[in-house]
Amino acid sequence: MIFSSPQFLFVFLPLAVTGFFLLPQQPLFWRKGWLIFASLFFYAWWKWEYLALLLLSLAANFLWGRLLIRTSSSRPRFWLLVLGVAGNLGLLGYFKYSGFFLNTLEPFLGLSWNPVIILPLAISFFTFTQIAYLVDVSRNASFRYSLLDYSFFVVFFPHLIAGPIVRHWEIIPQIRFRPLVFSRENLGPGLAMLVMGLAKKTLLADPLGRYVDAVFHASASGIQIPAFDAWLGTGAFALQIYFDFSGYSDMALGLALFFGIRFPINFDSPYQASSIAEFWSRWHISLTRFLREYVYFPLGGNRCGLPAQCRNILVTMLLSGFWHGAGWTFLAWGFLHGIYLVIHRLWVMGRQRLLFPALGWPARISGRVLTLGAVLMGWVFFRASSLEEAWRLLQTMGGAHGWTLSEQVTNTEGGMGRWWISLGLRFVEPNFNAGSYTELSERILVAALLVFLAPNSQQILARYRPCLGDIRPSVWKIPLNVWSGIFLGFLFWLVTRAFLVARPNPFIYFNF
Amino acid sequence: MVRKSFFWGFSFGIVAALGLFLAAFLLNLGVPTKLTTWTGEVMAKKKVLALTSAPPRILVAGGSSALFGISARELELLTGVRSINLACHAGLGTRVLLDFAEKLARPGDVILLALEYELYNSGYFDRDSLNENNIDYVLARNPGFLTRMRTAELVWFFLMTPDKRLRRGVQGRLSGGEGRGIKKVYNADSINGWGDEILLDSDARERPRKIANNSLLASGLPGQPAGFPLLNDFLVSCARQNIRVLAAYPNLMDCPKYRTEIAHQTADRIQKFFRDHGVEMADSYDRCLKPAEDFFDTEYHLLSVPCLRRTRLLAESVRPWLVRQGLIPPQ
Repeated sequence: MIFSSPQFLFVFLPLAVTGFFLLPQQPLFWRKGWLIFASLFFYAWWKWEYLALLLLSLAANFLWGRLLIRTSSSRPRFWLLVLGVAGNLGLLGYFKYSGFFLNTLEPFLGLSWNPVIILPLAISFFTFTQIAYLVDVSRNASFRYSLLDYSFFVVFFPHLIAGPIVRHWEIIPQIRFRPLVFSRENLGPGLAMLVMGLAKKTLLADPLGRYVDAVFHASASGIQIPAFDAWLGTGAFALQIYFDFSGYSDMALGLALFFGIRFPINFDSPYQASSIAEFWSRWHISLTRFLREYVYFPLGGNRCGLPAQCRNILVTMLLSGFWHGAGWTFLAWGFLHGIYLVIHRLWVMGRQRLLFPALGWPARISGRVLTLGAVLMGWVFFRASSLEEAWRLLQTMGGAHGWTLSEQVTNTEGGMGRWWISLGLRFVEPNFNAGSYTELSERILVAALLVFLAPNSQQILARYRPCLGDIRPSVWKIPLNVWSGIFLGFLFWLVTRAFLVARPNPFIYFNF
Repeated sequence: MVRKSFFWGFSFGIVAALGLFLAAFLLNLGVPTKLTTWTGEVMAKKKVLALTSAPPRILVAGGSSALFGISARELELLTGVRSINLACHAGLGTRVLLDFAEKLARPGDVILLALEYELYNSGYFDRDSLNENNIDYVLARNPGFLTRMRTAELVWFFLMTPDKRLRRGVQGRLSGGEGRGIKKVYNADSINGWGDEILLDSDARERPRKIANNSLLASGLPGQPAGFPLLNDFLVSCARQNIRVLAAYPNLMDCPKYRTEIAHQTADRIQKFFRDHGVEMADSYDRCLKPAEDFFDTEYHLLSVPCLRRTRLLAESVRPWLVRQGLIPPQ
């Protein structure tokens, strides 16, 4: 059940909200219990067999946390933590990475064991959430929660499937002693966030995805796609993944608000970043935060010599890549971003040492362009099905196979066609089904304008504090009144129609 | 502070959007667009042919494979039974094509079904069977069809009508229509008195550099083809009205992937489906696979001489069946 499905929006959500509304605020157990039950049902809808795995992981981590709290001496506590983290990683490793390792080692060890392991939905997310809990508990024994609160924190359905990766100290204080309130103040911004997220997903990400799939599928089949399509396909994917995942995050934030819970901010207009470090502080913020606090800092962070800092960055980003997917392309993507961050670190340090003056807006603009180019290059690895395919696409983008574009793009005899030719481009016979370029260019234009110029959902609703964390100020804030209601109602109809007629299209981050 | 009016506004926004959409939809009904000029005019012409003749007749139903690949004139000559080619554009989908044939058939008629393989997987209107062609056709040329749709079909139809099509229709309504969209060859003027296309060898037809072979025959039908329930209902309805049905395979460009095990199984499944419903299948699927030089622009569209050859082969199978049915005397 995905958030943008009729089953979720018209059956599950109304039932979950109605049950929540009908149950009494006090004792606290009722509403929390109801939401836990609804969340488990939500998870079981995908494959009920895997519900046991989620419950097992939850129970084991809860008990391990208790054990850590009870262990007062630091050495046994350390080893208990190591065991707990290893257990979580072992589970994740078995389900997510064993296929990858076996495939990689097969030629060396002569193994021919190819088990079919279905990746349990959300395993990366609920494992990371609980690892963070164990680490925090080992550092601070005051994080002692009831099983009910802990279960709520782990399984609450808005974040269960694809994040944001919430922290126990963010969620549990909101539910521990405070009643979960159903109120207009929460429902209004929640509804607005949900509709904006749905619009991002169904009106922007999914239609772009059809072209992206065509480009990458053609490329994976060995078709030499035109350079123009390689660029456009990569750009479209950059927009698709942003709207897909930030749309999902908006929906998660909005849904949590329905029940009076605030999640941490997860996206903050990342393509407006003027450096790669800034990009990572705005893209999938909850994951970046997790990696920083639980991988980068324990490795030494930046409180060590330059070579060690660079090593720490590379290790962290490699892990980030590996977390996204068990494949060489994801590792390459993580490594590439590690290299970018190292270069950025060197640049910043060099600038500080040489006392370069601040360069003002030209530096910001060139920083943005450079960052965007670097991120685009990374997306090629992220989306490609193999390193060879990624390399071939990058070569095509670099003009290694000529600066070409499909005859379908425009009339080759017309003004636009002549203009392209005058720029040195060559028209070639279409060799894959790209759909309508006019429609595509309209979508890309709208999506790009929103990405680069518009404020994000949190900024628009800043006055209602829709999330935890600081929201960058923006002049674009809308009040939730009759007019914004009409606009959002209209948008909701468009979204509903779009997802009813489109084939179900899961969120990209569901795979992780 | 979130005002109550926000929620009222939200509800009103949904209702207003729905109302606006419905109004645009209604304004579209009967407004002709360029997209379906050819199909609309071809079908209008064939309708007149069917309405001005009496049973018993052979009514050829199907997509353009039958329109360009079966000569009703030749069939009539060889069988002695009045024949009309009712086939049109396969993009209209099985739902429209069968409805068209059924509405024009009278007791005593024979419907010769020669559907493209894709049409066996196109059923009642839903997300998969609706496309810009049949949406445009129903809105612009045959709004009465909406009254014959099931409720679920109507909802799908309403939801699937694209915004762009609605805008075009409303603009057309306000400006008096888009005019005719006539191409050199796809022109209803070249339909003869039997409903056949007569410009099969026109120089105006552009032969593409390469004709793609991507018929469903190669990939096979899914477990439950969407077209089977629709065909089932069609056959039941025809039987009730004393309309006989005979089925045939479509002519298709021969290529290795149409001679695989999957292709054979697909053809067998279609034959079995018809056999289970008491419908005979004229000809065999591999006899309908024709060499590449017999086709002009797609793998389904035959040139004129191959069309006559194909019709003669078909007539060889149809004649004995007509004799058995008592429609023509034995030779």
